[in-house]
Amino acid sequence: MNELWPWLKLILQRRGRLVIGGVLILLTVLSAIGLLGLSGWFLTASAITGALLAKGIHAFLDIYVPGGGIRFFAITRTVSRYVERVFNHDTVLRLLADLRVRLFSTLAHQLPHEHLFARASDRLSRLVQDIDALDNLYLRLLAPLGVAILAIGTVSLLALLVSGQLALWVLVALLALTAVITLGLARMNRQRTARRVERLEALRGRLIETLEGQAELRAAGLIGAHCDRLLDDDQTMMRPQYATERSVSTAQGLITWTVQAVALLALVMGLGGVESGAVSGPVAVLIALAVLGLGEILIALPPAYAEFGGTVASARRLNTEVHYELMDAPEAVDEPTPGELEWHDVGFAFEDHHPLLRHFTLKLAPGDRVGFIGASGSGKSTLADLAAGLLTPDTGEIRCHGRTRWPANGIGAQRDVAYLTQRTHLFNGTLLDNLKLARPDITSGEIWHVLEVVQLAEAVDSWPLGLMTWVGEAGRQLSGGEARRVALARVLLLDAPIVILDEPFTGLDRDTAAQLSKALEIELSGKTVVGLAHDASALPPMHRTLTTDDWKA
Amino acid sequence: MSAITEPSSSTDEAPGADAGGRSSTDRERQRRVRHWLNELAGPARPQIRLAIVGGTASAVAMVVQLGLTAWLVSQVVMEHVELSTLTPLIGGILAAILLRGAFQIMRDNAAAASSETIRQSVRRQLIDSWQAQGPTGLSQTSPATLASEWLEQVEALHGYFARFLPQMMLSVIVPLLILVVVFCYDGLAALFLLLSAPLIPLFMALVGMGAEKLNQQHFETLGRLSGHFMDRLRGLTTLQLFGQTDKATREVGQVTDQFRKVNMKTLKVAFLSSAVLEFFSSVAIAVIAMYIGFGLLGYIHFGGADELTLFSGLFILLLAPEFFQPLRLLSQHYHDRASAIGAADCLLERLEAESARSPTTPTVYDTPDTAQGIHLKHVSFGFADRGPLFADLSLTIGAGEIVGLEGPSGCGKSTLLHLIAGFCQPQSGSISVFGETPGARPFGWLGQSPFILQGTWAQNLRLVAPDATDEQLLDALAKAGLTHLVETHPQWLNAPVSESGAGLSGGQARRLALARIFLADYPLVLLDEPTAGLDAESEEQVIAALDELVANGRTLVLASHHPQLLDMADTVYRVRHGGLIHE
Repeated sequence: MNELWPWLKLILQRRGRLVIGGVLILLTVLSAIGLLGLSGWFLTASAITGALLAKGIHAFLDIYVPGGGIRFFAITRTVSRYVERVFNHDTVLRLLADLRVRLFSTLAHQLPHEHLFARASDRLSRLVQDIDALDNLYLRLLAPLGVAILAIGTVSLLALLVSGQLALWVLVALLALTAVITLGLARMNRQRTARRVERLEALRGRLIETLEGQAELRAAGLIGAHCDRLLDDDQTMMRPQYATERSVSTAQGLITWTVQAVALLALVMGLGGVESGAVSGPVAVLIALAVLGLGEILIALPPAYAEFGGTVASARRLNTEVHYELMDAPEAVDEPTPGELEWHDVGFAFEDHHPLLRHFTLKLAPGDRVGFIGASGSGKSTLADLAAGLLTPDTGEIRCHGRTRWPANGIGAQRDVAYLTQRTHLFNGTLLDNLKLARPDITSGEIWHVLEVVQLAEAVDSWPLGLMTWVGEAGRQLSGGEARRVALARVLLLDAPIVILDEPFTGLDRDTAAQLSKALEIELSGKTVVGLAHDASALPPMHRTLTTDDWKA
Repeated sequence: MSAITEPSSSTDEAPGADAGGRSSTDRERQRRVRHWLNELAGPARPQIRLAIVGGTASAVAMVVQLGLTAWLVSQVVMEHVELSTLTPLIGGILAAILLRGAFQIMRDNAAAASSETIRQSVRRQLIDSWQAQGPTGLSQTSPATLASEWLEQVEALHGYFARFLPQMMLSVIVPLLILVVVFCYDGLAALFLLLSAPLIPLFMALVGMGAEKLNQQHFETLGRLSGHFMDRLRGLTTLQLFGQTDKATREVGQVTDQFRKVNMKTLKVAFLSSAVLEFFSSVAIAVIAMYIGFGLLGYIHFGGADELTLFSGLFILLLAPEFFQPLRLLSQHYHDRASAIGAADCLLERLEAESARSPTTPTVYDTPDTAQGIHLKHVSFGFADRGPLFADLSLTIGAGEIVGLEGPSGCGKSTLLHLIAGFCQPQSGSISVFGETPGARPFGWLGQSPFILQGTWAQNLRLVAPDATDEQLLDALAKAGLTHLVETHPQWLNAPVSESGAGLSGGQARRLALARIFLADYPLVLLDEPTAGLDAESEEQVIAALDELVANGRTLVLASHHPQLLDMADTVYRVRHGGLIHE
């Protein structure tokens, strides 16, 4: 439960809207109760009056007040239901925005090494699913429970018209029922629903493995066994899910039994009152019908609360994965030396793995060009991530432009290192949008110059939409080599004194790579350049090169 | 109740629903999707029927309960019968309540269980279709997409069978039942309900149109919104490096808010349809209450008003909301139908892709004339969407021979390997592998994405040779040049393979696959671009391990661009224009 607190706090920032939304739901429920209850009251009163009139006894029933009341409730039930749905959906969409902004800004302040990993995009989609699960918190969990309790309270107050005893019965029995179908059901299903996501992800992992290795498994004659195992696993997954659904239907059956039985109790006690003359017939009927009306709000609770464990698990995952601590950066005292870059006695290891770097020291003077040549996994990208502030060293420090790099001032504000990462991302948008990321006030001259450098000017000129061509995942019109060069252009536009290029020629044919290499040499003159590649030929000319042995622990 | 299917005059063909100008092919597609869903419902019919029976029985118990309740009230209030003498009546009501709840549970449990077999059979169908398409056919789609179809899309079918289908039948049966009961007591009250009865299909259409529009709009919007959000999240490192995170955070908020405004416009209209349903049911209750009340007072004399008693009046009033309740439930379940149809559309497309890709004519096999080597005779093959790839191709590979296939990408060298592997069948001609049909015996395969089990080294190796000893495993690892990864680990062969952070590198994964080939000692090994996509260092290590493989006298067929690999071959063929050129 504590897991939900940070998210509840976020949601409660809109408490004004939440209260209005809840009141609207309550109004809808009470209108339904009022409509049926008042109709029952009116019918019974009419029957009694009618019987007296038939016997020739003078009797009078005011038909205008209850008639008006019935019409009033018929209208309020319709209107409040409509307004409630519109208003609350609006609220949910607002909450969605709040939650996503929170997730985004938290991740944006995190050191990003987590999202550099291979299955990062799976992890991100899970985070997004988790955060979206929390927008249920209000409309499916909080609001109906609050309204149910208030409605039960209102009806037990009404029951005072019959007797205090009945009021107590209604209050106790229905509140107990509410506790069972919310807390009890959530507790019963907590383990099952909390584990479901992990199980599902495990099954998905095995499924993807099998699909990727299909050819090999088939050749070895193992595919049948593997597919059978997948189907078995799936069935194992379905079982707890079915158990959850059964518990929901049992809870809903329990609601029917309890609410109807309490309504019967109210009727019998009311009719007892009629016999003794303490209660009028119409009132006895009204109270019983009002109790019946509570079924509608209660029946919606079990499906939402059976999944409560999943919601808590989502919150827990978000709490552990989405957090950050800002360290206070000391005032910079040293004079900056633009273009200077130093790894000073740096040690680094990924969590639970062998150290990649130990006591690594290297200093680049402004204008230096150093190439790091090594196979994938040799740690060269780690060196670059450290320099750019995407990672923090375990020991030692990074000095950039002559100042110690602090993680706190490393993220979000710094544009002092232009870094072409190994995997780049073009945003869904136009080519121009993507280039403007580096320099919002970019001029046309600058754009075409940088496109010349990356050997794309001619191609872009020939595209029908030119700079307005849609790129990114939704666009996908660019080849791998073109996308890589757009990313490179973006990096060059940043115009930082230090430039880091990780495999800049990926996806390019030999001729293009050679021309790009030449253009880069001119474009980068005067800048400190760090090049990373599997081979020296995959980099523009460097002053010196290091190989794996020079840095690896 | 002979067939539990959706009526063909279902809501999306309701007048006006096609005002947007949906093309006839789209409608044809919709029809096929619904037809498929109905076919799938087959094995679930007993459960769905049980749900309908449970729902109906529960409704009957409810009618009895309400009738007895009204009787109880009228006995005490009007006839002044002593409550203590009515204990059997109260017992009867209690019994009816018990039955009502029990049948309701039965209905819901049957519904929950209904789609289990359906989901399983669809998953089986999908797996079969993946196998029929083979690795070639599937290469166009990412495994993650296929996995999410297998898991999420199939799951989306559940609500349709479990909730929508039974409720659709119940929303016809239960109101009719109530109507008949009401008619027995008062013609005019029944007429009020009857007047709304022809409105029921209209309601369904209204609800359907509204819900469908709501769903479409809602999911489309959410989809686009999620797309934007995921895009920014994936590019977060880029945003950080360019110092743009604050701006992007503001943008996420703004875009979501903009989407909200657009979405709310549609929702306001879409919710109107359910408001109409709500309005009619409220008005019906109000009208019936007023009519019965005035009748009881003796103010009106038309219809059956004169015969009305407190019993019949109260009974009818209690039944009136229950008349509309099934429809309200149906409108709640409407999104189940919409998401199931969306999912079914996508799944059907995947299943149909198989028939489009696989050969149209049946395979013709000659009796293999020799048990020696591999024989391809007059083989023709092509993909339906790409035209013929091979025409009348013949090739003989002797036992123990090493054959290299080269040629530009797309020339068909992988397809040739797949034919020998039995992953796809020729449209005509025959292929025999050591005297048997291709794929009849296990063989070694090395492609670009080997199968790596999330487990230990030993588990991964014993996959192909369950009885291998530790020594044999180590020997195979040594031949593949992987010993150093196991040696340094305290858990030895029981160390998990994926411990080195992001898993094995591409080169290591391929060498693990090679170790399996050494271990199983397959007489035939097919290699499909075994070094593609590797860096220079890994490439060398894989080639070194392959050298070891070649030395062992196996029959080897390898497709590659790599000169060093092709040098190992006894014979190299260039695949070109549907034939082979000997080099």
